Amino acid sequence: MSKIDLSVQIGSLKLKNPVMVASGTASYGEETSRVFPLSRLGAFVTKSITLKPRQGNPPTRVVETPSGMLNSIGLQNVGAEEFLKKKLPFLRKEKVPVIVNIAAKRIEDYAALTARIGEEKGIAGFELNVSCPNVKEGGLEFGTNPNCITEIVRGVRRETRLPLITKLSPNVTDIVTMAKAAMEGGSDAVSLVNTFLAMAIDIRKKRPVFSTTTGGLSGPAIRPIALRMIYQVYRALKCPIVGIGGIMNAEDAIEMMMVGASAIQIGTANFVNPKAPLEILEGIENYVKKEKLRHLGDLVGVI
Amino acid sequence: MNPVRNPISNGVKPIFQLDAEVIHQVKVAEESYILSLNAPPIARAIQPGQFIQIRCAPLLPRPFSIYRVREKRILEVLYEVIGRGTQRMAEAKKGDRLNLFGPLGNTFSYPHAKGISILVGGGVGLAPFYDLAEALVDPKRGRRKKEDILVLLGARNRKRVFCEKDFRKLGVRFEIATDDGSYRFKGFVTQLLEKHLRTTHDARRTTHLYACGPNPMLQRVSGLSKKFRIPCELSIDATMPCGYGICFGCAVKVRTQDHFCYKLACIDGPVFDTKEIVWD
Repeated sequence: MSKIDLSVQIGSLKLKNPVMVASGTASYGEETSRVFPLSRLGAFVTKSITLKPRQGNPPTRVVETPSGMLNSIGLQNVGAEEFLKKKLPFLRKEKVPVIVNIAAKRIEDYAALTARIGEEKGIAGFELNVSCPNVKEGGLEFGTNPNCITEIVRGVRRETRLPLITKLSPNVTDIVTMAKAAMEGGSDAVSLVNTFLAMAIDIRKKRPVFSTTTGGLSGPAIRPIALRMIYQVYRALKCPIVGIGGIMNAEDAIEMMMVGASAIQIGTANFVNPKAPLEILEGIENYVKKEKLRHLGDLVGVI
Repeated sequence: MNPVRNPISNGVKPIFQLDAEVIHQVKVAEESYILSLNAPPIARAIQPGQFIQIRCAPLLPRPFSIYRVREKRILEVLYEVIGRGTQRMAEAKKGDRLNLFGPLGNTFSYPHAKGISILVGGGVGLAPFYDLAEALVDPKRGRRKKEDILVLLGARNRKRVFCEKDFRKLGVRFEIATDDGSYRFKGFVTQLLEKHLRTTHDARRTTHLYACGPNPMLQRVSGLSKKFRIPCELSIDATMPCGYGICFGCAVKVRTQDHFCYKLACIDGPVFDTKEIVWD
């Protein structure tokens, strides 16, 4: 490892490098640790945890689209208690900051979840999923209503001093309003963006591919739109941003940092190339060396 | 790129990712090929029933069973051209490189049972059964008699029949059903299986079934295993974006004590006990 300083600051959260895995694309870490040591990451973001276990949506759950994929997983997860008992102990040993992503169908459940999980040691922060498009209640409804966002973040803020990142939905007319709502509620940062509401049809069966009718689009197809949204939010609010959306390589990551992301998350790329986070980290490091930057943070928002 | 051995973490077996060189590609039937890839770390570790992901499609990789492992370094993949990814694979020439990831998933069991094991492959569903048959008759692994291993292949027609010579050379029994009767038994492979379970000398001696193929076929085999009370393992095919348990995309509905839940074909499978599966 070189001595180049790749550390980044996201509100009160300091990370040794800007590369995280996006929620729902690395489960709870055990599988990814079979490919590379999690300690190489800036932070590990867990798959969304809900108060009670969720069994998820019936198949079909994923379909490939041009330069992207649609998913409708439905937040399948083991629930908070099982997560604390069975999953968190593994992550704690991995010497990586753990950001627990939480989701809920009721506004008050976000605070309850934070209170319960925040009691445990070894958690670096929370990411609030107020933007899942694939669950009936909550999910996207919360993410498209700025008052809901503020209320959720405020409730969570009362329960914890840990850094909070609010993950926003791109399925809105004005992303800046949503980011502002999250920051007003007491969020340390926003992560931009979750998946785009989208759809696919099985023309043989003459019905939607997903039982939920719609799904969420991710992958390279959404990257330019995510980039624009990060740019808009950074220009308007200058708040800390975690960039997400179809990053496949270091160039994509650097682009996002240049428009205002302090850190980035790798999602769909993990399915295509399990070592993508490492390769992206190395690519960023090479760029910093080549450009003779003193500090990676200097890139953030230069555009 | 040299294959890099990944660190073993927490006693869990590593998964290898490497660019494998194409050693050989041969057309074995209409739209069907065997691709030989040089991938020593995966070839040494992989067990019958496990699979690999090949990055052949525009974005997401696709899962493939291993037909045969040679010289502890070469993986043979039997596949059918069905989309853009497999079309690209079919165009691969000696010396080309393909990105592989594996070994993935669980394995077939080989109980040291007496009696006959029947391996039922529907089309390219035959793919994992050469490797399994070889393990079953291996004196160090399955320790089974060659005449006690019966492999059944179901094909659309005679142009789609493949790998007959390989199985004959291995010395196990091998029978073929074609939908249109253009070769050997006329009918579905499940009808051929039923014939064996009902009327032949094998009827009372069959103690274990394995099946891989399209879902309707698996469901039929599952029904026969229940009817004849023979344990049965199914290798389930599902859309598998990641292949290693991180995306939760390849859900398989399974029974639980009180209801049902979704397991993942890639890490809980691809091999499932037929009693677990809920067919919708």
